[in-house]
Amino acid sequence: MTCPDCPTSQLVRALVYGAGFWRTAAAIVAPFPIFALVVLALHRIGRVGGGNR
Amino acid sequence: MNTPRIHDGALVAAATLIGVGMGGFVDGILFHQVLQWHHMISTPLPPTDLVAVEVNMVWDGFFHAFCWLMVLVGLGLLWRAGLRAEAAWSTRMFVGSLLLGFGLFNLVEGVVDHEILGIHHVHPGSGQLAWDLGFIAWGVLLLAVGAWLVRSASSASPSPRALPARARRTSSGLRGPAPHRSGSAP
Repeated sequence: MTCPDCPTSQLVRALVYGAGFWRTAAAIVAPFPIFALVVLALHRIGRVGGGNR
Repeated sequence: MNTPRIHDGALVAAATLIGVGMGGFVDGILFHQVLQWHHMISTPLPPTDLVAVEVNMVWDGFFHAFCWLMVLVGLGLLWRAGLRAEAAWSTRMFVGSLLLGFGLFNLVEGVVDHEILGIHHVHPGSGQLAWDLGFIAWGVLLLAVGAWLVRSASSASPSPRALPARARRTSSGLRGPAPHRSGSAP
């Protein structure tokens, strides 16, 4: 049995994608919405409402 | 004579987002892979055996994927800013915004992941809090330097940058004096 599907890999996949997956995923991505909000706020700096064409 | 309005935020937002992603790559490559001080969930699952290491590696991969997305979106915003005549185009503002993003990553990730959620720490064990606080302090320093560079670039006499050749031929044109490049040479 090759490594991508060996018992260790199967156990790892079960541990990652089993119970608690969404809770861990939420923790991993938690900072990123904050980054997005800050960047959105920064994008408004000097923004011309009616355009400048 | 109309003074052209310069949209600093287009460049600042793009470069900040790229800086966030790059900051994440520095953390991931240096601390997770080269030094192997910590991984994404090394507090609840210390990497003391092969299975724990591989589980942490998967979550490290998800983290890196999000960092990659930050850089990708940032590059898209940067490209869009480059096509717009009213977008600021300054080396100092660009570099300052990259540092803003890097510092923002350290600050937010340092507070959220290390202190609030506690899913990992910079250097677990003795001196753990000092390392965590140092990580956050480094982020604050980068933020301060980046903000200073951005503000100094923004307060310099704004001038519309030269349009790309295709835009010069097809745009309705800027009113006022002929445009010229702003910002210092790289």
